[in-house]
Amino acid sequence: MINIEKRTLANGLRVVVHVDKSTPLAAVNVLYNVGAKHEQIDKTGFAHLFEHLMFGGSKNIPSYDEPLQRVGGDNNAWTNNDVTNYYLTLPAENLETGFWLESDRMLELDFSEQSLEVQRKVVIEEFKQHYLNQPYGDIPLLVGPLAYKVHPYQWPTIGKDIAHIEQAQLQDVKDFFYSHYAPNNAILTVSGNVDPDQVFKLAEKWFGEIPKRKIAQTIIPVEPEQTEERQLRVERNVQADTIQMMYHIGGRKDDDFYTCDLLSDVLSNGSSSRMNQSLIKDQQLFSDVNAYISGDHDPGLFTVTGRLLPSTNMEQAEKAIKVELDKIKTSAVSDYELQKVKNKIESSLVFSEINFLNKAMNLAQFELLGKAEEINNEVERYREVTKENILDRAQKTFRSTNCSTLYYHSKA
Amino acid sequence: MSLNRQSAPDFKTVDQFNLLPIDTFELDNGIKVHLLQAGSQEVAKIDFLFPAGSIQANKSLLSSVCNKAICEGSKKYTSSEISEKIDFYGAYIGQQAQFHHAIITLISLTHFLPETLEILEDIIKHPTFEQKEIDTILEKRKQEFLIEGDKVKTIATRAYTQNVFGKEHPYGNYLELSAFDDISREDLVDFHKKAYIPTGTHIIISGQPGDKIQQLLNKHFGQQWSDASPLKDRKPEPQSEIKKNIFIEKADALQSALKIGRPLFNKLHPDFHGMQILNTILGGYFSSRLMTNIREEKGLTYGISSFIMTYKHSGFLVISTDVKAENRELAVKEVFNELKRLREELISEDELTLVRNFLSGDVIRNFDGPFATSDNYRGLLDLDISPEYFHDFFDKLMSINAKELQVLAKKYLQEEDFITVVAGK
Repeated sequence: MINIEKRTLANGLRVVVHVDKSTPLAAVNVLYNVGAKHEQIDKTGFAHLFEHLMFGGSKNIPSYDEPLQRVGGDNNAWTNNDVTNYYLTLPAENLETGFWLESDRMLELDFSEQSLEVQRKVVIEEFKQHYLNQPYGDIPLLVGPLAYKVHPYQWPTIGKDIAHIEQAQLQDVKDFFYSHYAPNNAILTVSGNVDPDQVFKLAEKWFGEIPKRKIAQTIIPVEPEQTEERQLRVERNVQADTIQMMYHIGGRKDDDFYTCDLLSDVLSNGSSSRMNQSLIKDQQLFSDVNAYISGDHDPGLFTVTGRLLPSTNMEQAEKAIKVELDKIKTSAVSDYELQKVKNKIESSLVFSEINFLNKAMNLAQFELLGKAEEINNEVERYREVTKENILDRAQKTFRSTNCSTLYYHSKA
Repeated sequence: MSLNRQSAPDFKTVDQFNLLPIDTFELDNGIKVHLLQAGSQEVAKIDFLFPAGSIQANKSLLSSVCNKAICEGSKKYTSSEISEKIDFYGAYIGQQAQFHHAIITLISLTHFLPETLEILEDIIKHPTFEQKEIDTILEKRKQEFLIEGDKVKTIATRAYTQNVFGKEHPYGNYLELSAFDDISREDLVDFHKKAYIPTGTHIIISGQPGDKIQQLLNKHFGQQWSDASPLKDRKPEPQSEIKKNIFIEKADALQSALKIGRPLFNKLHPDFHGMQILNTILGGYFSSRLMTNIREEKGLTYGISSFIMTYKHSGFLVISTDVKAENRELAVKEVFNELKRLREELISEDELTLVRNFLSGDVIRNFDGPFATSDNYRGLLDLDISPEYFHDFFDKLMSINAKELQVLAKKYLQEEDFITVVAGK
């Protein structure tokens, strides 16, 4: 059970505190409710570019990293389709430094041409390093537009086109800041060796005077139901063929999120899972297989991937995966199998509660999705899933008209 | 009252570092057990370190394939029964083959340890090594090896270590494709018999394994199941011809991978702690000289870092980055400029304080809790170093001055001692 205390400041900033006295450290996590899905189709990659700019200095503090390192702290950030998340850890007695730094960059960034110029280049190099100069690196660029026709999940966080980053102007950056970065669009979580009263006092002191801002109400188009099977075939200079099949499912807040998660676990979590045993061990068709859900806030994807052994061709591979999916939609999983994946979830939740920074990040997500306290009901949500739920979910999901497949062929 | 946002709040520097106590005891057969009992969760992590690394194996792939295949079937349980049971208990088994040890890690909820350790005993003592399982592992490894070989970063890393340690010694990481066809079941059976033995084996436990852990371990691993002595250790031969510049072309590469480094020493060298601090200043944290110059000022790369790698018998320092071809020369030039600055200019008090404070916080992070501490402690076992070593580092961090760092830079950061490897364009 994770202890939680919460307040909301007058400017709308939600503050969540979790006390963990087993560490001498503290974590400060600031989640902004802005991600790649809030971008315009002709200005993609902005949320992520912006994450880089948040380290270029703020109104009153020329450097973000240095003062934090000076008090023994460290930090990083990540951006996904839905949110941008900043986090730092430091010795708990220096907690106030974290508040000082995070509040100043929420108050106002130092919008400088120079910082924008450099970070544009850095992000372009990041784009090349991760997406263009790696075997299979372009898969995220290919699958989005295949599975989504109107929803912004069609582009990856790094952006749809490198040109959008190249063309980013300082005014765009300012507009983006004032329409998304605001106390009323953020969640502050603090965890570790801290005193909740002191945290609330510090929150009031440093964040209390930041004005509420008008948040841009991005109208995010709803993805219409897919009605035809989609396929994309590419050929690349890689050593092995891979296949990736994607099925539309619901979003993070949908009732059957936990059912979907367990469905993917039955298929591929752990070496005893169905696809591992059948496709890798018994039939020896693949060197690697995976099934996972995206966990996106809006309706997301159930993805199945496989890397083919040299002796397997694409038709065999696809057929073998479909046989597994057919099985799980034809007959219910056994009680034992369901119990097994639930046990695995429960122990992984116990393991995830060891790390105080993890807890700060997870609490922020739960607070954004509804309320932080829900974190303590997760085990129960998983326990409630029945084998009938899984069967029903499998039948609704694994239909050919709900499927987009990427065939990634090796040229050799 | 208006808030002064321009000046930083008061802070305290970390001036001491408390290491979790590490208890040691021996099982009935002499296996050394290191216990870090702490944490709020009823979970334990148990590392078994067998003297079964690639150096003892003395044949490419033997150690890593053996350590993987060991979990794919035993006298009592088939491969799928092992995974069924381990998954049902919500436990994890991890495997890692290193140069001097093969490691098998069990992470388990404490109340399932009697069951999970029973399975592990059979895995470790009585693997069946079925040919089919071995083939599956080899096919997967071969494919991964080929995929990795397309990455400029991997091409450069392999060329760097081969250049420094030679093709003959495992530290060189040299592997030929034909090695995948040259591993037989007999090799594994023979190696397992000689290397998964009580003598030379260590067990590290972290978390909350319960009060009965010593009994439990004795029950499953305390008997003298083999009288063998560990296989021979082997030091790398000094390389007569280390090339200063290596360029490996990959025509379709969008970026080139750079590795610029020099051979160094192991953890016992008296300059080791000082070099760790100097390395941090050079490229070991976000505000390092290299990050500031090459990423934050010039935007030449997504990231650049330097790190020191140590093994039982040796070590090296290497600077690593990916840049586009037209920026390559400038990046290399700036790397050497930064080495020169460290040799020629004294580090300012301000920068030294910054790195000292950052690193002291980092020490607290790296030793926060039993699991993090055990990961660090594991690195000391090859050389039989006591945990006091971590305090020595902390003391050096508190006391080192700019002059000392400059002496180290003059000794170890001379341009002519560095090797430059480029893979790409």
